[in-house]
Amino acid sequence: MSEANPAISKNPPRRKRVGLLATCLIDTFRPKAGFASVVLLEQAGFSVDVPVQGCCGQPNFNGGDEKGAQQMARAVIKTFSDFDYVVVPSSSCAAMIRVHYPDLFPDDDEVAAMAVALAEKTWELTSFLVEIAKVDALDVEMDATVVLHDSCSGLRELGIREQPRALLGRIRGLQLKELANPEVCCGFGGTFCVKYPDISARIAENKIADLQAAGRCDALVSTDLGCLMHLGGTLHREGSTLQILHIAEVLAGMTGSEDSD
Amino acid sequence: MHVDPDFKNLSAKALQDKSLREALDTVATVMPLIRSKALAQLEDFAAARERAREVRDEALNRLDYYLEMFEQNVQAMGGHVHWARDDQEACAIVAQLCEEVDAKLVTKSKSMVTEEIELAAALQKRGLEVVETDLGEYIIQLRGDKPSHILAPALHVTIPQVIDSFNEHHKIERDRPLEDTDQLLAEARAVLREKFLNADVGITGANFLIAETGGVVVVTNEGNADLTASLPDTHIVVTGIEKVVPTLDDAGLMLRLLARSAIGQRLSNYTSFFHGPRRENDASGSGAFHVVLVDNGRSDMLGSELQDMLRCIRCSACINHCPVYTAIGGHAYGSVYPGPMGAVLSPGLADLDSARHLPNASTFCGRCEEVCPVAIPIPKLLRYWRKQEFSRHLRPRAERYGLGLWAWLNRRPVLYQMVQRMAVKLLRSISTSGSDGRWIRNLPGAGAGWTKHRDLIAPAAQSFQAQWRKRTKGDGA
Amino acid sequence: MTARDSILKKLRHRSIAAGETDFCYLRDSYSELTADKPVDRFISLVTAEATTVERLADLAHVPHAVDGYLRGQQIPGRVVIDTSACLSGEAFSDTDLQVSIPPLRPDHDVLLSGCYGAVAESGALVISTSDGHAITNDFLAETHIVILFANRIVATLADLWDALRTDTQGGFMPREFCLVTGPSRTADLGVPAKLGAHGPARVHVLLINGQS
Repeated sequence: MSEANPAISKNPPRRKRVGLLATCLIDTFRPKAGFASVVLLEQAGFSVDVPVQGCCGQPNFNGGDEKGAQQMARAVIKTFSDFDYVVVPSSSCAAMIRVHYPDLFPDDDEVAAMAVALAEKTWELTSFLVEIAKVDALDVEMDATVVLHDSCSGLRELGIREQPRALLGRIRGLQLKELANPEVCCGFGGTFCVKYPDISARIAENKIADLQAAGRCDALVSTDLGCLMHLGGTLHREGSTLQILHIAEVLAGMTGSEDSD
Repeated sequence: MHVDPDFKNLSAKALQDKSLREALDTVATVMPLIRSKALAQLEDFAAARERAREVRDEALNRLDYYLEMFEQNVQAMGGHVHWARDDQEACAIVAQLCEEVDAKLVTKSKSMVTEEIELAAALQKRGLEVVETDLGEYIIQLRGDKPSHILAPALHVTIPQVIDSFNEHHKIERDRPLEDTDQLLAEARAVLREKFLNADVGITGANFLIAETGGVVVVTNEGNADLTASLPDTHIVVTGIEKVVPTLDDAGLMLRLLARSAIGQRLSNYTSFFHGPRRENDASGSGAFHVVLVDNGRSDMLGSELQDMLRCIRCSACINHCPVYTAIGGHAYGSVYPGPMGAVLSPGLADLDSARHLPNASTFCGRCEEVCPVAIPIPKLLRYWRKQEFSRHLRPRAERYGLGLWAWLNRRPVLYQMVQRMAVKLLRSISTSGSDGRWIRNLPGAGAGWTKHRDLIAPAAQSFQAQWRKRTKGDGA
Repeated sequence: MTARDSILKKLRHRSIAAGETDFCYLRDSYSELTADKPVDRFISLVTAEATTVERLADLAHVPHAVDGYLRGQQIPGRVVIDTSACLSGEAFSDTDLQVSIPPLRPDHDVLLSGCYGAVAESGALVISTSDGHAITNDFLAETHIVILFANRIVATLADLWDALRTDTQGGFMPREFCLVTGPSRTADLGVPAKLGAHGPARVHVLLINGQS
């Protein structure tokens, strides 16, 4: 009697489970970017869940409300502790978890250990797709010229610069233009943009001048919705028709207007 | 030290100033370029920076040891070391030293500490003539103005304004009116030369103190520090206590990074090392050499969460790369220390209440930390001050309650989603829909900060999480 | 308690809390690297900073070189000679130069001096009070001509510290030494920077190939 064929009798390996932390801004203002993130992760071979979730605590952390930030972080840690990976379609929220959660509980070793464990498996979307999922092909076509806006927390807290560019480079027909000063902030800065609106607007003005100097473009793309809403809102006020896209939407080929509400 | 708390009005005024904007745009474009070009000359800037951080940390962790070594060496060379706990003590010491030599005229080279302790005013009150010899500081002094940058204090002053000030204050017979910068330079050189030669006391700052040798390092591009230090018979160095480094080698490393980070040069034009008073075989130099070590809040920062800020070597790289500073300039900060380093230092050296806007007027873009040659974690330190403000109730009540409410709601998802649905309904009801989407042009209250200069894209009719629940509800396991 | 005691007491709290250190006193090893020989490196850096360099075989050629330089710049031939130049008035007897000893005067503002040496990595001359040099004049002159011996050019700042420590043999450092990179300049009246803010508008180096 021949042995059972091991290739058939063996159970297929379990797909790794990703918990998507959609972020408050995407949840309220841009669900399509959330769905695009899910599509990308599923296409890369992961099973995705979106547990009932709250804010990562960054506004409170940056606002000096340590206690509030800790409370919100505890909830996030609890919600996401069982996943293999946590993926976040935002550099600043991902950085909150990856960079700041580990130091958020100096007086509670147990929670601190859980925070470290969560931080180590939390990734911003594009860095996850490139570094962990090793995505090297996207079956997407987009005949357009886009400019990528680099988020400051992406650049400086997470080392995200090449990853979005590598992914955008996989899109057939896409032309990527670079800004002359990509290292310079756009002026969003979370609550800064409403606390100091005039200064924020001046910084945005400089960024938009840089954008205009890059020449004719169809869309502005970024990993961070906060920057996009700030720049996009400013451009709209000026009468610009530049399309504003979250990078997940571009990479998933979900940039058509029929997808919006 | 005083900080003008009127950040809101000062920054609003600055944003309207066209010539200031031009000057700041030049800073924002030129300084980062020349800095990175200069640092590219070094094979491994990251390693040099790490060593620099180590050197500064060592000095700060054993400051008593190194300051005592420095003091012993200065005294062995015939110099004197004085210690001042605060600004008033420091001014009193300097005034006393001037009185002892019956001084009438004092020349000064640029020193941020002397601005911090308001030394010139204290000496002038006692009837002394005090002349700033750094050209930028001199222009500021003529105009009764305040510095707007720690290295380029007259950044905000236009050439026509300089001409006006020279015309007003220089009692000189000119054969033609002042028109161009060459003439201004020639006139400044002549006027200040006369002061250099006639000064009774010269006051300089110190970029570094060298424990190994008792040396005081002063750098300038103009050479005015040397003329200030060596021509009068009394040289007084006024310095913060944190400026000491262990050895000449350490000073060399710091200087290599300082000039590149500050002005894109390998070294400042004049990098001078002073060791005590004139000696028997010296052909020049002051007969009396005094160092005034100023604490003024620095020892309180040691051992606290703010200690890292004391590593600062006053290069101004953080200032030049800051999107907020390059939008509003130095005066808006209301402090002798502007920009990111000023936002951390000012609350510590003055008080948090007066300086309360400074740690908040930041996007936390992190550029400052990235360019700092001694790796000071500035955003983290700003966050420390924000924590202090929150717990000491220095933030507006609405902000405190808003954050509290946000934390409270987010731990109660069902309640959060209910509030979210109501808010979304409200926002969509005041939005207008068009071919370019659904937008809100005007928000009241707290939202006005958003819609003042930008539109708000309307929220989605249904949140992502709600849509997700709907889509996955029907799916079996 | 004196201010000194009070401040040191606070500082001691910190050093006690910081405890033992593993800090090492290291020779500075972060110089800018170059394949060039020190003398070539020095020349290329210094000439990029508005300084001119003339190479001479030995000290005896200095008087004529000074004469030639001043004529070329159309500056009157009146020179103040500092002790550090190691040249007496007689050495200038077969030129038309009017030489004098310090101090500088309004129409005698060309200074000829020696120097301690130079640092190639920084393109910096090192002037020092150690050789009887009245270096204050170096900051007052309109034109500064400096005699530099090629064998006094060290490659790096670390080499300079070693040289100073050796020369002072554990005694005190010179009362003042200064690393000078080019003429005095200021950017306070706009960019590009203007030369001759307080100190020299012109620096000319006479680089002697021989030994000092």
